[in-house]
Amino acid sequence: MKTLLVSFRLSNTYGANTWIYRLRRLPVIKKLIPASLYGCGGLKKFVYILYVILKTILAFGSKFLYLGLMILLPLSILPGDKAGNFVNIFFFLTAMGAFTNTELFNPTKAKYYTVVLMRTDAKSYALSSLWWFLAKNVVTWIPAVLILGMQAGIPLGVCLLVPVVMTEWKLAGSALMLKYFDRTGREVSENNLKLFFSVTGAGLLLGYGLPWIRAGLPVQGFYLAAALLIPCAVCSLRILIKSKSYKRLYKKILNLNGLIFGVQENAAATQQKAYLSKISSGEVRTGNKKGYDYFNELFIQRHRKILTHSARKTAYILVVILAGVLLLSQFNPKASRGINEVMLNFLPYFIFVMYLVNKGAVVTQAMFMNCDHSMLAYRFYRQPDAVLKLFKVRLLTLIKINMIPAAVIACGLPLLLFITGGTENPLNYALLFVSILAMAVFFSVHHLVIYYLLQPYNVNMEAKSSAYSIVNGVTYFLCYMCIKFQAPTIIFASLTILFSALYIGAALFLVYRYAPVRFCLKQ
Amino acid sequence: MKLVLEQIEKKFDKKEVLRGADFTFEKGKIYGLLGRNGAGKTTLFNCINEDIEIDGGSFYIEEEGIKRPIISEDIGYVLSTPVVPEFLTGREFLKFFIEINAQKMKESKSLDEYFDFMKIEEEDRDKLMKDYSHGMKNKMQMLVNIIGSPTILLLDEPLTSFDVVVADEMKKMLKEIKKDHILIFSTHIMELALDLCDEIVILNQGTLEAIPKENLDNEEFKEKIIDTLRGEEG
Repeated sequence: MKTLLVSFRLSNTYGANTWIYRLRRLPVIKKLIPASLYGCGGLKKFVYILYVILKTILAFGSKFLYLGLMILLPLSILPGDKAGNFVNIFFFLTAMGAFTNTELFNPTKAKYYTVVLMRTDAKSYALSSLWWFLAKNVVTWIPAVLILGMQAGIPLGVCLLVPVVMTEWKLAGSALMLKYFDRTGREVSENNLKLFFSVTGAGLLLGYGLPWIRAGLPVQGFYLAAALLIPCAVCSLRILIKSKSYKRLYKKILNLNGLIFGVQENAAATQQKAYLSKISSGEVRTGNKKGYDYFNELFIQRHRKILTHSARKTAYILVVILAGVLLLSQFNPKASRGINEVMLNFLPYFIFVMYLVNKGAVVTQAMFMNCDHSMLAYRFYRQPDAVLKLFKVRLLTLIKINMIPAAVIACGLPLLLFITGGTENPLNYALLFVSILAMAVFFSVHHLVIYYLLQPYNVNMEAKSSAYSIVNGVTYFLCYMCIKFQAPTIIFASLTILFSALYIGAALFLVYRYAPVRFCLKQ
Repeated sequence: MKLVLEQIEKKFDKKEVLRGADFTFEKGKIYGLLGRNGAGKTTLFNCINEDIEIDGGSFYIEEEGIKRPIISEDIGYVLSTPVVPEFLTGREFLKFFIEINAQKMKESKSLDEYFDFMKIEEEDRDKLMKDYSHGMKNKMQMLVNIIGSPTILLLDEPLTSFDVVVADEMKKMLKEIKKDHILIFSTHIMELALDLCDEIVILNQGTLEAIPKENLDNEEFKEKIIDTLRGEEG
């Protein structure tokens, strides 16, 4: 109990401090919150209480959300008996959760702090937090299942069994995983992707699939399963209580690369390692390039895996999709008319597509992690003319890379338009072609300019600029919104081209004006 | 030639790290900058290198009585954690660096001559720097900072990551080049400072203070330094 309380206080204090830390990084609010808040009694307590309240609301709310979205919503489209489908989906999703949402095998910051740093007894910590996890689970499920479940017409008996079966499954899952760990000594973190995907896949397939083929678990079967799980749960309980492997287990899951994401340097180091692994060694050809051209050429070639190769791969995929659509339009006149319509009225949609195929974000990220992060420490590299020279070289390469997939789309769209019946105004062909290329250039410029103007990282590779995230978020949102937008291609394409030209002009102006000052490591 | 610091002030939030640091560093000497952990040694270097803006005071170069601001070519800064572009080989980095700084470089040697000078083994010269050890990266960083032949060379804890043999090579190398540079060397290893440096400067409570050796023997000198670092009267 005491262990539990200590770990609670720790994780809540940590949570509250994280809040203060984040608040202090926002532009305006930063000035209102002094660093002393971390230690200040009253206000700190206020944030702390707020944090606990929000956590509680989330704990209850998430159950409503889960029940509504994952179980009740699909019920409305599944054939057959409602209660039967309910128990089937619930049963298998819960079985899946027994292995992927375990508490015991979840490598968290709180665990790292409590067990590794503060050397709390692993077993008592593991068990007390497991009991708490199970109890919390039962308590937070009851209102959700009683309110939503009853409303949906699920029998009371089933509703009441929901938390029981869940607990049984979780105990069984944890014990099984612990046994597996004892046997093999292998890492069994619930964040293990292989485990996660196979279990989730099976759970989803059985949960939603069986009702489709009308082979779902009947309600009586559910009662029986709940009863059969009782001895399983008791055995599991014994295993969990008797086990002596907790310390070893935590050592294993809390020390794996990247799992100790709580510790800043570690997160950055892991990230950097991931980026370093993207560097390809081997032959490079730089011809007789010199200076920044030489430097940039080496960068591109050493990162061909994530740059040129990946752009080419995207282009191939686009060719295949294009070929598929071409075939479809040949055999299906209805589809053909639809495609023609898309070409003439849905160009905005392709803004989002072009956003997705653009390599700008990846390139700038790699530029920072593997290149600028270290090079910006050298003063000559930050000189205004050096910054601008390299910017120019980089922009041209970035456009070149993005042109690979863009060319496929730019040629593909007019081709599709032609094959699906063409258009009265031949200008459409040219506009489609040019506007797609304009979008490719636009996104290339956009990503690079944003990176140069708002370079968000500091020496430790932590992102320090909220402006950068905001601009990126807004870009994504706007591009996404374009999906919902229809406009005649003639008008929209002309506007796109015009806008791109203006934007590129303005952006380049801003870079030439401000990048020499702004392009540096954040402090 | 001199590097003059006048009343440099720097604070973070409300914490005053530098409060009117005053000092004149002269060419031909190695200065050992000593300070306790968190005293602000790196901050001072970052200020001189204009990585961060100072809140007050000024610094400049004085050459034959004429004052001028510091320009990029004047400064080489070797960071305590070496940073090199990991996607390049040592040779590529050096080639790039020399091409970029060609006009400013006073002498031109072949790439291999530079590697020889820094005692970087032949088999390492064409390896990607991501596979370099910490010490090797540090050597590369030192090399590109030295070959530009900057007037001022700031070295932040540079020898701590080297093994004893390399550290000895580096010490000899620094002594060799000191006549053309203003060398400021931060460390909190006193033996290193006493062994290598011509003058000991202490950063304490945000100000700089030279500790003259006068006619003290090494032990007495150490005592005096520690007393000053503790903030007691020596």
